[in-house]
Amino acid sequence: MPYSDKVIDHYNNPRNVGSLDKNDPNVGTGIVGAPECGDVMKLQIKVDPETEVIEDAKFKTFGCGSAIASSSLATEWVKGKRVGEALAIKNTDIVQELSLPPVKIHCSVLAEDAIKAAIADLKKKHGRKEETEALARTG
Amino acid sequence: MMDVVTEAKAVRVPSRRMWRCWACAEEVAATGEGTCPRCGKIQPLGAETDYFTALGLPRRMAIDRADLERRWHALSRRFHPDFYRTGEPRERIVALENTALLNRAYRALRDPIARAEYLVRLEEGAGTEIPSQPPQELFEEILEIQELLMDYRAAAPDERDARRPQLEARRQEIRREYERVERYLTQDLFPRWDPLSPEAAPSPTEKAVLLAEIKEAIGNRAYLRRVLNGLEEALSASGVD
Repeated sequence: MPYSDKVIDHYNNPRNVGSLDKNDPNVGTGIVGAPECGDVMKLQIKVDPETEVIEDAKFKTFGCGSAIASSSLATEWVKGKRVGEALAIKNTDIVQELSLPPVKIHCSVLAEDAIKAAIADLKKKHGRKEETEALARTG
Repeated sequence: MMDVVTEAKAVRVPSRRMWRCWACAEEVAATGEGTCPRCGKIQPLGAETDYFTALGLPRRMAIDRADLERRWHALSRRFHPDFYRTGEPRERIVALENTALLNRAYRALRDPIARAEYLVRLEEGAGTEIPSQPPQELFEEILEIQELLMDYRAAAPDERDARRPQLEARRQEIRREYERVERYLTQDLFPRWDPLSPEAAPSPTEKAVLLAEIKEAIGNRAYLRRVLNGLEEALSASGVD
Protein backbone atom coordinates (compact mmCIF):
# COMPACT_ATOMS: atom_id res chain seq x y z
CA MET A 1 0.00 0.00 0.00
CA PRO A 2 1.56 3.30 -1.04
CA TYR A 3 2.06 6.00 1.57
CA SER A 4 1.07 9.56 0.73
CA ASP A 5 3.84 12.13 0.11
CA LYS A 6 3.04 13.79 3.42
CA VAL A 7 3.41 10.53 5.34
CA ILE A 8 6.74 9.88 3.61
CA ASP A 9 7.90 13.41 4.38
CA HIS A 10 7.06 13.09 8.09
CA TYR A 11 8.57 9.60 8.17
CA ASN A 12 11.85 10.73 6.59
CA ASN A 13 12.02 14.06 8.43
CA PRO A 14 10.06 13.55 11.62
CA ARG A 15 9.49 16.83 13.48
CA ASN A 16 10.06 17.10 17.20
CA VAL A 17 11.47 13.66 17.89
CA GLY A 18 12.77 13.37 21.41
CA SER A 19 11.84 13.74 25.04
CA LEU A 20 11.02 16.42 27.57
CA ASP A 21 11.67 16.07 31.29
CA LYS A 22 8.67 14.12 32.51
CA ASN A 23 9.23 15.34 36.07
CA ASP A 24 8.89 18.98 35.05
CA PRO A 25 5.58 20.18 36.56
CA ASN A 26 4.76 21.96 33.30
CA VAL A 27 5.34 18.89 31.13
CA GLY A 28 2.53 16.47 30.37
CA THR A 29 3.41 12.97 29.15
CA GLY A 30 1.07 10.64 27.32
CA ILE A 31 2.12 7.10 26.44
CA VAL A 32 -0.45 5.09 24.55
CA GLY A 33 -0.48 1.88 22.55
CA ALA A 34 -2.62 0.07 20.01
CA PRO A 35 -2.92 -3.60 21.00
CA GLU A 36 -4.27 -4.45 17.52
CA CYS A 37 -0.92 -3.73 15.90
CA GLY A 38 1.50 -3.33 18.82
CA ASP A 39 2.41 0.29 18.07
CA VAL A 40 3.43 2.50 20.99
CA MET A 41 3.45 6.29 21.01
CA LYS A 42 4.78 8.82 23.52
CA LEU A 43 3.80 12.45 23.20
CA GLN A 44 4.93 15.19 25.57
CA ILE A 45 3.88 18.81 25.83
CA LYS A 46 5.43 21.69 27.75
CA VAL A 47 2.88 24.28 28.73
CA ASP A 48 3.33 27.88 29.86
CA PRO A 49 1.47 27.84 33.20
CA GLU A 50 0.36 31.46 32.81
CA THR A 51 -1.00 31.44 29.26
CA GLU A 52 -1.74 27.66 28.94
CA VAL A 53 0.00 27.80 25.56
CA ILE A 54 1.87 24.68 24.49
CA GLU A 55 5.37 26.01 23.91
CA ASP A 56 7.07 22.72 23.06
CA ALA A 57 6.09 19.20 22.05
CA LYS A 58 8.11 16.05 21.50
CA PHE A 59 7.27 12.53 20.47
CA LYS A 60 8.75 9.07 20.28
CA THR A 61 6.92 6.36 18.38
CA PHE A 62 7.52 2.68 17.90
CA GLY A 63 5.42 1.77 14.92
CA CYS A 64 4.74 1.97 11.22
CA GLY A 65 5.26 4.97 8.95
CA SER A 66 1.68 6.17 9.44
CA ALA A 67 2.01 6.06 13.23
CA ILE A 68 5.26 8.05 13.09
CA ALA A 69 3.76 10.57 10.65
CA SER A 70 0.59 10.91 12.77
CA SER A 71 2.54 11.65 15.94
CA SER A 72 4.99 13.95 14.14
CA LEU A 73 2.07 15.94 12.71
CA ALA A 74 0.35 15.98 16.11
CA THR A 75 3.38 17.62 17.76
CA GLU A 76 3.51 20.20 14.96
CA TRP A 77 -0.15 20.99 15.37
CA VAL A 78 -0.25 21.30 19.17
CA LYS A 79 2.73 23.66 19.34
CA GLY A 80 1.58 27.23 19.82
CA LYS A 81 -1.97 26.13 20.64
CA ARG A 82 -3.65 26.55 23.99
CA VAL A 83 -4.44 23.33 25.85
CA GLY A 84 -8.15 23.65 25.10
CA GLU A 85 -7.47 24.06 21.38
CA ALA A 86 -5.15 21.06 21.35
CA LEU A 87 -7.91 18.96 22.91
CA ALA A 88 -10.10 19.81 19.93
CA ILE A 89 -7.75 18.10 17.45
CA LYS A 90 -9.58 15.10 16.03
CA ASN A 91 -8.09 11.99 14.54
CA THR A 92 -10.11 12.67 11.39
CA ASP A 93 -8.15 15.91 10.90
CA ILE A 94 -4.96 13.83 10.89
CA VAL A 95 -6.48 11.26 8.51
CA GLN A 96 -7.39 14.04 6.12
CA GLU A 97 -4.06 15.88 6.30
CA LEU A 98 -2.01 12.70 5.75
CA SER A 99 -4.50 10.98 3.40
CA LEU A 100 -4.38 7.86 5.55
CA PRO A 101 -6.09 4.78 4.10
CA PRO A 102 -8.82 3.05 6.19
CA VAL A 103 -6.41 0.38 7.50
CA LYS A 104 -4.23 3.12 9.02
CA ILE A 105 -6.96 5.12 10.72
CA HIS A 106 -6.04 3.57 14.08
CA CYS A 107 -2.65 5.35 13.83
CA SER A 108 -4.43 8.70 13.84
CA VAL A 109 -6.62 7.55 16.74
CA LEU A 110 -3.45 6.73 18.65
CA ALA A 111 -2.10 10.25 18.03
CA GLU A 112 -5.33 11.84 19.26
CA ASP A 113 -5.26 9.58 22.33
CA ALA A 114 -1.63 10.56 22.97
CA ILE A 115 -2.49 14.28 22.93
CA LYS A 116 -5.38 13.67 25.33
CA ALA A 117 -3.24 11.49 27.61
CA ALA A 118 -0.49 14.14 27.75
CA ILE A 119 -3.02 16.84 28.69
CA ALA A 120 -4.64 14.55 31.27
CA ASP A 121 -1.22 13.92 32.82
CA LEU A 122 -0.57 17.65 33.02
CA LYS A 123 -3.95 18.28 34.65
CA LYS A 124 -3.29 15.49 37.12
CA LYS A 125 0.04 17.11 38.03
CA HIS A 126 -1.59 20.51 38.50
CA GLY A 127 -4.40 18.99 40.52
CA ARG A 128 -1.82 17.43 42.79
CA LYS A 129 0.07 20.71 43.04
CA GLU A 130 -3.07 22.56 44.06
CA GLU A 131 -3.82 19.80 46.55
CA THR A 132 -0.40 20.11 48.21
CA GLU A 133 -0.69 23.88 48.25
CA ALA A 134 -4.12 23.66 49.83
CA LEU A 135 -2.76 21.16 52.36
CA ALA A 136 0.14 23.49 53.11
CA ARG A 137 -2.28 26.35 53.67
CA THR A 138 -4.58 24.42 55.97
CA GLY A 139 -1.78 22.46 57.63
CA MET B 1 -23.62 -4.13 -3.32
CA MET B 2 -25.39 -2.95 -0.18
CA ASP B 3 -28.90 -3.69 -1.41
CA VAL B 4 -27.82 -7.18 -2.42
CA VAL B 5 -26.86 -7.83 1.20
CA THR B 6 -30.18 -6.51 2.47
CA GLU B 7 -32.02 -8.66 0.01
CA ALA B 8 -30.51 -11.85 1.36
CA LYS B 9 -31.46 -11.08 4.97
CA ALA B 10 -34.14 -13.34 6.31
CA VAL B 11 -37.24 -11.85 7.85
CA ARG B 12 -37.05 -12.30 11.57
CA VAL B 13 -40.14 -13.63 13.28
CA PRO B 14 -40.59 -11.35 16.29
CA SER B 15 -39.79 -12.56 19.81
CA ARG B 16 -38.68 -16.05 18.79
CA ARG B 17 -35.40 -17.56 17.61
CA MET B 18 -37.12 -18.28 14.32
CA TRP B 19 -36.78 -17.02 10.79
CA ARG B 20 -39.13 -17.13 7.86
CA CYS B 21 -37.84 -18.99 4.83
CA TRP B 22 -37.14 -16.44 2.11
CA ALA B 23 -38.53 -18.81 -0.53
CA CYS B 24 -41.71 -20.33 0.99
CA ALA B 25 -42.25 -18.23 4.17
CA GLU B 26 -42.11 -21.34 6.40
CA GLU B 27 -40.84 -20.70 9.95
CA VAL B 28 -37.29 -21.99 10.34
CA ALA B 29 -35.27 -22.33 13.56
CA ALA B 30 -32.35 -19.91 13.59
CA THR B 31 -29.88 -22.56 14.73
CA GLY B 32 -31.39 -25.34 12.63
CA GLU B 33 -29.98 -27.28 9.73
CA GLY B 34 -29.55 -24.22 7.55
CA THR B 35 -32.20 -25.46 5.12
CA CYS B 36 -35.93 -24.94 5.07
CA PRO B 37 -37.73 -28.12 6.22
CA ARG B 38 -40.56 -27.46 3.77
CA CYS B 39 -38.96 -26.36 0.50
CA GLY B 40 -35.38 -27.42 1.18
CA LYS B 41 -33.86 -24.04 0.21
CA ILE B 42 -30.73 -22.98 2.08
CA GLN B 43 -31.23 -20.27 4.69
CA PRO B 44 -28.97 -17.37 5.62
CA LEU B 45 -26.96 -17.94 8.79
CA GLY B 46 -27.39 -14.23 9.34
CA ALA B 47 -24.68 -11.58 9.46
CA GLU B 48 -25.25 -11.03 13.19
CA THR B 49 -24.82 -14.71 14.04
CA ASP B 50 -21.73 -15.17 16.18
CA TYR B 51 -19.01 -17.54 15.02
CA PHE B 52 -19.65 -20.11 17.74
CA THR B 53 -23.35 -20.35 16.86
CA ALA B 54 -22.56 -20.44 13.13
CA LEU B 55 -20.46 -23.56 13.66
CA GLY B 56 -22.85 -25.03 16.24
CA LEU B 57 -20.39 -24.73 19.14
CA PRO B 58 -20.87 -23.53 22.72
CA ARG B 59 -19.08 -20.29 23.70
CA ARG B 60 -16.11 -22.08 25.20
CA MET B 61 -12.37 -21.62 25.03
CA ALA B 62 -11.71 -25.35 24.89
CA ILE B 63 -12.47 -26.47 21.36
CA ASP B 64 -11.53 -29.78 19.80
CA ARG B 65 -9.67 -28.88 16.61
CA ALA B 66 -10.78 -32.03 14.78
CA ASP B 67 -14.42 -31.41 15.68
CA LEU B 68 -14.11 -27.78 14.54
CA GLU B 69 -12.68 -28.89 11.20
CA ARG B 70 -15.44 -31.47 10.70
CA ARG B 71 -18.18 -28.92 11.37
CA TRP B 72 -16.58 -26.36 9.08
CA HIS B 73 -16.18 -28.88 6.26
CA ALA B 74 -19.72 -30.24 6.58
CA LEU B 75 -21.31 -26.78 6.58
CA SER B 76 -19.04 -25.54 3.81
CA ARG B 77 -20.18 -28.45 1.67
CA ARG B 78 -23.82 -27.68 2.39
CA PHE B 79 -23.48 -24.04 1.32
CA HIS B 80 -20.80 -24.36 -1.33
CA PRO B 81 -21.53 -21.66 -3.97
CA ASP B 82 -20.69 -24.10 -6.79
CA PHE B 83 -23.85 -26.10 -5.99
CA TYR B 84 -26.04 -23.03 -6.43
CA ARG B 85 -24.52 -21.56 -9.55
CA THR B 86 -27.68 -22.26 -11.51
CA GLY B 87 -30.01 -21.50 -8.57
CA GLU B 88 -32.16 -18.48 -7.90
CA PRO B 89 -30.30 -15.17 -7.34
CA ARG B 90 -31.21 -15.19 -3.64
CA GLU B 91 -30.00 -18.72 -3.21
CA ARG B 92 -26.65 -17.77 -4.75
CA ILE B 93 -26.33 -14.84 -2.37
CA VAL B 94 -27.18 -16.98 0.66
CA ALA B 95 -24.59 -19.56 -0.41
CA LEU B 96 -21.90 -16.89 -0.82
CA GLU B 97 -22.68 -15.09 2.41
CA ASN B 98 -22.90 -18.25 4.48
CA THR B 99 -19.62 -19.52 3.04
CA ALA B 100 -17.90 -16.22 3.80
CA LEU B 101 -19.25 -16.25 7.37
CA LEU B 102 -18.16 -19.86 7.92
CA ASN B 103 -14.66 -19.08 6.67
CA ARG B 104 -14.38 -16.09 8.99
CA ALA B 105 -15.70 -18.19 11.86
CA TYR B 106 -13.25 -21.00 11.20
CA ARG B 107 -10.29 -18.62 10.98
CA ALA B 108 -11.28 -16.85 14.19
CA LEU B 109 -11.87 -20.01 16.22
CA ARG B 110 -9.12 -22.38 15.10
CA ASP B 111 -6.33 -20.54 16.93
CA PRO B 112 -6.76 -20.26 20.72
CA ILE B 113 -5.45 -16.68 20.94
CA ALA B 114 -7.63 -15.49 18.04
CA ARG B 115 -10.54 -17.35 19.67
CA ALA B 116 -9.99 -15.51 22.95
CA GLU B 117 -9.74 -12.19 21.12
CA TYR B 118 -13.05 -12.93 19.46
CA LEU B 119 -14.65 -13.93 22.77
CA VAL B 120 -13.56 -10.64 24.33
CA ARG B 121 -15.02 -8.72 21.36
CA LEU B 122 -18.27 -10.69 21.60
CA GLU B 123 -18.66 -9.97 25.29
CA GLU B 124 -17.84 -6.31 24.78
CA GLY B 125 -20.36 -6.19 21.97
CA ALA B 126 -22.96 -7.67 24.33
CA GLY B 127 -22.37 -4.79 26.71
CA THR B 128 -19.95 -6.34 29.21
CA GLU B 129 -17.68 -3.57 30.49
CA ILE B 130 -14.09 -4.84 30.28
CA PRO B 131 -11.81 -2.30 31.91
CA SER B 132 -8.20 -2.95 30.96
CA GLN B 133 -5.13 -1.00 31.97
CA PRO B 134 -2.55 -0.05 29.35
CA PRO B 135 0.83 -1.56 30.31
CA GLN B 136 2.75 1.65 31.00
CA GLU B 137 5.96 -0.08 32.09
CA LEU B 138 6.03 -2.22 28.97
CA PHE B 139 5.43 0.91 26.85
CA GLU B 140 8.45 2.59 28.42
CA GLU B 141 10.55 -0.48 27.78
CA ILE B 142 9.42 -0.63 24.14
CA LEU B 143 10.31 3.04 23.60
CA GLU B 144 13.70 2.41 25.15
CA ILE B 145 14.29 -0.48 22.74
CA GLN B 146 13.05 1.72 19.89
CA GLU B 147 15.84 4.14 20.75
CA LEU B 148 18.42 1.34 20.76
CA LEU B 149 17.12 0.19 17.38
CA MET B 150 17.34 3.69 15.91
CA ASP B 151 20.90 4.14 17.14
CA TYR B 152 21.79 0.70 15.84
CA ARG B 153 20.42 1.39 12.36
CA ALA B 154 22.16 4.77 12.23
CA ALA B 155 25.52 3.36 13.37
CA ALA B 156 28.40 2.59 11.00
CA PRO B 157 28.82 -1.14 10.25
CA ASP B 158 31.84 -1.56 12.53
CA GLU B 159 30.09 0.26 15.36
CA ARG B 160 27.12 -2.05 14.99
CA ASP B 161 29.11 -5.08 16.08
CA ALA B 162 29.78 -3.40 19.39
CA ARG B 163 26.08 -2.64 19.88
CA ARG B 164 24.92 -6.09 18.85
CA PRO B 165 25.28 -7.93 22.18
CA GLN B 166 23.04 -5.35 23.85
CA LEU B 167 20.30 -5.90 21.27
CA GLU B 168 20.74 -9.66 21.49
CA ALA B 169 20.24 -9.47 25.25
CA ARG B 170 17.07 -7.44 24.82
CA ARG B 171 15.79 -9.87 22.22
CA GLN B 172 16.26 -12.81 24.57
CA GLU B 173 14.62 -10.93 27.40
CA ILE B 174 11.61 -9.95 25.27
CA ARG B 175 11.31 -13.47 23.87
CA ARG B 176 11.21 -14.94 27.37
CA GLU B 177 8.56 -12.43 28.35
CA TYR B 178 6.55 -13.18 25.23
CA GLU B 179 6.62 -16.89 25.95
CA ARG B 180 5.65 -16.26 29.56
CA VAL B 181 2.59 -14.20 28.53
CA GLU B 182 1.56 -16.86 26.04
CA ARG B 183 1.80 -19.59 28.67
CA TYR B 184 -0.12 -17.44 31.13
CA LEU B 185 -2.90 -16.98 28.56
CA THR B 186 -3.21 -20.55 27.39
CA GLN B 187 -2.46 -22.38 30.64
CA ASP B 188 -3.77 -20.08 33.37
CA LEU B 189 -6.42 -17.77 31.94
CA PHE B 190 -8.13 -19.76 29.18
CA PRO B 191 -8.97 -22.78 31.36
CA ARG B 192 -10.67 -20.42 33.81
CA TRP B 193 -13.15 -19.25 31.17
CA ASP B 194 -15.06 -22.46 30.47
CA PRO B 195 -16.26 -23.06 34.05
CA LEU B 196 -17.86 -19.60 33.77
CA SER B 197 -20.38 -20.85 31.18
CA PRO B 198 -23.94 -19.45 31.48
CA GLU B 199 -25.11 -22.69 33.14
CA ALA B 200 -22.68 -22.04 35.99
CA ALA B 201 -24.30 -18.61 36.43
CA PRO B 202 -21.10 -16.67 37.03
CA SER B 203 -21.33 -13.23 38.61
CA PRO B 204 -20.89 -10.42 36.07
CA THR B 205 -17.85 -9.17 38.00
CA GLU B 206 -16.18 -12.57 37.97
CA LYS B 207 -16.59 -12.72 34.21
CA ALA B 208 -15.47 -9.13 33.64
CA VAL B 209 -12.36 -9.56 35.80
CA LEU B 210 -11.25 -12.62 33.88
CA LEU B 211 -12.04 -11.00 30.53
CA ALA B 212 -10.01 -7.93 31.51
CA GLU B 213 -7.07 -10.17 32.40
CA ILE B 214 -7.38 -11.98 29.08
CA LYS B 215 -7.69 -8.70 27.16
CA GLU B 216 -4.64 -7.23 28.85
CA ALA B 217 -2.53 -10.33 28.30
CA ILE B 218 -3.55 -10.49 24.63
CA GLY B 219 -2.56 -6.84 24.25
CA ASN B 220 0.77 -7.39 26.01
CA ARG B 221 1.46 -10.34 23.77
CA ALA B 222 0.82 -8.16 20.70
CA TYR B 223 3.16 -5.42 21.92
CA LEU B 224 5.87 -7.96 22.75
CA ARG B 225 5.45 -9.69 19.39
CA ARG B 226 5.83 -6.37 17.59
CA VAL B 227 8.97 -5.29 19.42
CA LEU B 228 10.41 -8.79 19.08
CA ASN B 229 9.87 -8.58 15.31
CA GLY B 230 11.63 -5.22 15.30
CA LEU B 231 14.61 -6.64 17.17
CA GLU B 232 14.80 -9.74 14.99
CA GLU B 233 14.56 -7.69 11.82
CA ALA B 234 17.36 -5.35 12.87
CA LEU B 235 19.61 -8.20 14.00
CA SER B 236 19.14 -10.27 10.87
CA ALA B 237 19.55 -7.32 8.48
CA SER B 238 22.79 -6.19 10.09
CA GLY B 239 24.99 -8.48 8.04
CA VAL B 240 23.57 -7.28 4.73
CA ASP B 241 24.61 -3.65 4.47
